[in-house]
Amino acid sequence: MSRLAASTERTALVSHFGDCVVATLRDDLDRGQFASFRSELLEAVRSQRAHGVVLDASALEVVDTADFARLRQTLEMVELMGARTVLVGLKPDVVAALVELGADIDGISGELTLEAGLARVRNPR
Amino acid sequence: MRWSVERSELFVAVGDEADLPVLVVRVQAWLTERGVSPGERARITTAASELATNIVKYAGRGSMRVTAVRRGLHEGVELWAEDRGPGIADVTLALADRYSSSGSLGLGLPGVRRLMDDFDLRTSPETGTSVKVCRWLA
Repeated sequence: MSRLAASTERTALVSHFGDCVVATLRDDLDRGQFASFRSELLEAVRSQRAHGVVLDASALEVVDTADFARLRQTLEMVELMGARTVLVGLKPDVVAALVELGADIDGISGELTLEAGLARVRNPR
Repeated sequence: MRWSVERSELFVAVGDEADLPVLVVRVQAWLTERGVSPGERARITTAASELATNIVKYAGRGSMRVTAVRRGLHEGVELWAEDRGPGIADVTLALADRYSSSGSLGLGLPGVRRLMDDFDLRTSPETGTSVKVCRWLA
């Protein structure tokens, strides 16, 4: 993909809620687009000195093990930077398929809604 | 020969990483058109994505066929992933369940096997790899 296309096409939405960053994943990201999404997110965590990141995965229709590994690595990177992470809005069908696939879900926090996700990263249990 | 004969098959060429999201969208659309439920759609498309990822990763290029199948009163969806890559050296290992922290190790075949009902794998260095899987719909 050309640089121009990469810069004009919005791959994801990263926004701020106080000390938290909310990142919304688009469904059809290829590996390159996911990489730019990840860079954008990590940069937002740094520049905003975010304490928490809520990754909104509600748009995802299909998540295979490669997609999930990329998601997981991204969460780990954010945690390594010192922010807490939570995945919100995963669809029941997606979750069911992931668990049957045998994806490693250990240590990943999930919440049903964005609000619950924000509450979780602000007041971890 | 008539053009209007309905072929209940979807063929997608898989050549590189960029084809994967396209494949997912096309398989989803194909299943939706045929009234497959969202749960089954997620299951079958995830398996298709997994198999196509294997093609890109291990063979470089190949193809995916999605076909509506019938056995008696049962209707199902068959996925057939084919490549002419180097084949799988150790099939037992490829089908063994392994968990990795990144979730990216292995071929994902045990997972595909769990997601689908029938599973048929043929592989050799000469012919490449063919994985045919079927999900029977309720």
